[in-house]
Amino acid sequence: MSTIKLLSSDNAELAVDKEVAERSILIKNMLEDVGGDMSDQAIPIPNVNEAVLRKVIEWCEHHKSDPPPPADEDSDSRKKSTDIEEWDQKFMQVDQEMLFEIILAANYLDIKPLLDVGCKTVANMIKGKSPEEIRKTFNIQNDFTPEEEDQIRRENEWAEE
Amino acid sequence: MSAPPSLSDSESWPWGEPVCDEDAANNNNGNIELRRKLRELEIEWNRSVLEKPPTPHAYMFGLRDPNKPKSPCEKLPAELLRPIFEYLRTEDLLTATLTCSSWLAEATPLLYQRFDYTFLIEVHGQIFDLRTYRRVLNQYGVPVNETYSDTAIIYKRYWNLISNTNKGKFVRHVRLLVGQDNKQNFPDIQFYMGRLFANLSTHNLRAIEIGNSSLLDISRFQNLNKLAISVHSLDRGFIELPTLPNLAHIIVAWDLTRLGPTGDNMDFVIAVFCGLVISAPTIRHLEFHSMIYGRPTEVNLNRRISKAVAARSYEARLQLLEKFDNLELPNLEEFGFSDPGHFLRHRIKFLDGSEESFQVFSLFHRFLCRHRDQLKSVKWNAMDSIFDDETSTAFQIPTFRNARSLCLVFPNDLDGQLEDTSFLRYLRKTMDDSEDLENLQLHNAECNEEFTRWAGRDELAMFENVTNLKLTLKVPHGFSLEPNENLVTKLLGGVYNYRDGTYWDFPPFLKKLSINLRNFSAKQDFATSLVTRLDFAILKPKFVNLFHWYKSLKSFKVRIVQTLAAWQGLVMRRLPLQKCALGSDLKKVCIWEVQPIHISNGNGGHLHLEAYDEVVLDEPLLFEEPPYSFTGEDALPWSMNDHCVDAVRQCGAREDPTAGKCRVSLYSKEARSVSYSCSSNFGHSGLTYTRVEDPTTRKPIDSKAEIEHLKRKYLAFARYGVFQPEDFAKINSGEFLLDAPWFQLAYMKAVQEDVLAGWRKKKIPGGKRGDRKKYFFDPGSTWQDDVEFFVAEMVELCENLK
Repeated sequence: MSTIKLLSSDNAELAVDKEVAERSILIKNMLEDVGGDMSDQAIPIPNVNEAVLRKVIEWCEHHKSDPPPPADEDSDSRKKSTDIEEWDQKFMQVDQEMLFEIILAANYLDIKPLLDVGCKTVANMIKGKSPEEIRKTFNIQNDFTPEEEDQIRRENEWAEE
Repeated sequence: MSAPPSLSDSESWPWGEPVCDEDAANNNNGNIELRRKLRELEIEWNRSVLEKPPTPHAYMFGLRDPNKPKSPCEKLPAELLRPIFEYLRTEDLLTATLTCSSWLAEATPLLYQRFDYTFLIEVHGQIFDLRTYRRVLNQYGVPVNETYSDTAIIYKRYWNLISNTNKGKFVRHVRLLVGQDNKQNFPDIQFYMGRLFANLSTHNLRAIEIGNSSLLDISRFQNLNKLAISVHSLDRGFIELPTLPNLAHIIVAWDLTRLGPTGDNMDFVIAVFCGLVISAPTIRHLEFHSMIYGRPTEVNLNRRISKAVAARSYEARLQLLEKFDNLELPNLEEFGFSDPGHFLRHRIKFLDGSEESFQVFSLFHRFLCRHRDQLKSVKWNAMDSIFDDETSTAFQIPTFRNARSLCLVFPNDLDGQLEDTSFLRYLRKTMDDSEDLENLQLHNAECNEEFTRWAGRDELAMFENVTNLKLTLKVPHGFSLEPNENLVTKLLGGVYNYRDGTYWDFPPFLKKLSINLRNFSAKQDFATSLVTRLDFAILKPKFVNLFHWYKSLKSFKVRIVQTLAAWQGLVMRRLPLQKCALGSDLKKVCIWEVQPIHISNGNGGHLHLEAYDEVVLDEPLLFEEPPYSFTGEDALPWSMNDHCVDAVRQCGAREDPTAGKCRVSLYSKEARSVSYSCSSNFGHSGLTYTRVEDPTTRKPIDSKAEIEHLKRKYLAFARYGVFQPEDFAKINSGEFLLDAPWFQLAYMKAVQEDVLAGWRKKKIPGGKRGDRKKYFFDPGSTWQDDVEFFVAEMVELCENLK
């Protein structure tokens, strides 16, 4: 099994099986573009630091045998369920900074299943919370005036069950 | 800041890493002391920063507290918030909109996309005919406004509503019915609609129902699925429409009045129509309609068409006709044809350009014949004109082998249609050919004795081999009021056979009756003077026989078009649902109720009904009375729910009694189907007091306090079953009495609480002579007794007041 090297944004070089790395559509396309021979040269991943890249590789190794997601997956079917596999749940038990970095990395590296897991994790953190609780959870600044908040409530009243 | 340590489930950080010693933080070896210290720091942080209320200034100016750490989630670009929000349920999405402005921006579009918006505006031009306007409003005691200035205000309020739905960006369905005269009188609507249409998403919009295409460039909307349009408003651009690949449903309104196009104008309109159909090769439903979307004025029509005719060559139009004449639409399944006789009268030149001409009808006839075997549903409107001898000879009216639904609509004013030989021949042939026919509707079928005989026995042989057929009979608009020729009477009481004096059974295939009680006046059956004056009908208990006899009925729809809507609705509602021996299979009941003023098309200001509910019953005979309210601001028509109220309030209907000239509806597909309607005397169900007059001076009692006092008083009468008609006389004449909203409400409330059910004509024990008109609650009475008694009392009361 061939191995390739990935170069993180903080210049750490990580060796990874090609099959694992190809869970990333970005890397897969890159390898295809250069003819598949990148054994000598590290592939730069400038938007992902070492810690995050290790986590991403860990996820890819675990899921290397998963069937690839359908190319044109219906977004409706994706968004229905927020169920997450047990291993993925444990994998995502990280602090928020890491969580969002993983989401960003998954988006950058074009690893759709990982992006989905990350989004589901965040969605599960939002569910059932009040706006104030959400703000607390994510440390979000409330930039609405009370009047604006009232207006939003009024405007969206129609959608409430 | 370096990467934070991994924590166990129970110790996960609410966000990122709090400020702490960096070396310690990098120590990831599970040092317990360090963890404890970090935890303390976290708690302290929560206490000092998070729980500190934000200052007003920070809110006001959107300033960030400099002491707060930046949220990790703020690193996410907006496009990554979207996939996260997609996993949220609607209620969580709503919460997300309230979190911060960036979340609001991302969550709102998703929120709107989850609802299948229908934005409907109906502005019926003819309501602005001053005479009609006054008459209708007078009828309901709404003060007539001499100017139309209020209307422009209404449009502005609609615009507010539009703004609240993100300016129409996510609207899927637009229905704008604006009469031509409206546009001339109220240029505002052009302005506001222009703003709305500019925002419509070419991607989201699925359906357009619009009278005048000049307001909207339809070719922009490539995902359009449904188009309803007045063919006369189509300009020459329509001939060159690009293919609309998703258009499946076209309703074309023709002006078939004397103001409609003739001669070259008609040629042009036909060509435009052909162009439209050709541009929609996947069309499934094509329907001709009489002019329903406002009538273009003669001047405008001629000018528009003349310009277009000048611009288009005769040959180009002929090419379109030729193309249409060979057009085959593989998906076409439903076809509706209105007034074919109109197209018999008009002739256009032959396609080869020779001087000879042919009837337009033949073009459509050939089109119909080409598609006859694929049509599943066919509706002929005013089809009598094609069954005269001449037409029957010239054209063989096709039957539809695979049709499952066939609807034949006759005009109102013809006699003996069902006796017409050519029609009966056609009907027989249809029954023979259409083996799959499940639903046959005969509208406006004459309901005289001949028809009854036809429906009852003689001609039923043609149905002998038919199984699973649902026959719907709709009686004509102005049918005979003679009880012996009154189909409603017969249907409800059973078909009476004059010859042997027996009741007939209905044909066994009859599964559905649809009876329009418009103009129904059972004057021979009940209280002539009262019924005549008040124009309403109460069915006597004997009519309930229908329900005893036809226990296999699956559906019964009562449609009531009368002035005393709530009253009648109440009576009718009680009639089929509470005490009648309805069939055990009855699962679905559709009751129609009146919105007190709703001009449907301006042809005389008749009242229009809105179906407010369709109740599917788990058990027969269950029905929930409408939640009437009697308290001030909350007393809204019960057919409106809270959402409706909001919508109506937003467009100002509460403040403006003329708001009913427009109608706004929003439908939500996901959560529920909600229809928002505002009718012109929105407060009629209890809040319109303008008809309460001083009986001596005839001046309105405009003191709200006094009205409230009277209302409470009579509510108390109704509630406690003590009923003194003379009290009513002190306030109002008998005529006004029954029309008075508070009285109707009192009555309905009484019935709702089953108080009226106990009213009995009894002397009060120990009462004096002359106390006969005092009544009290008697739980042993039946509802029929109550209704009959109550109406009789009303008659007596009105007579006494004369």
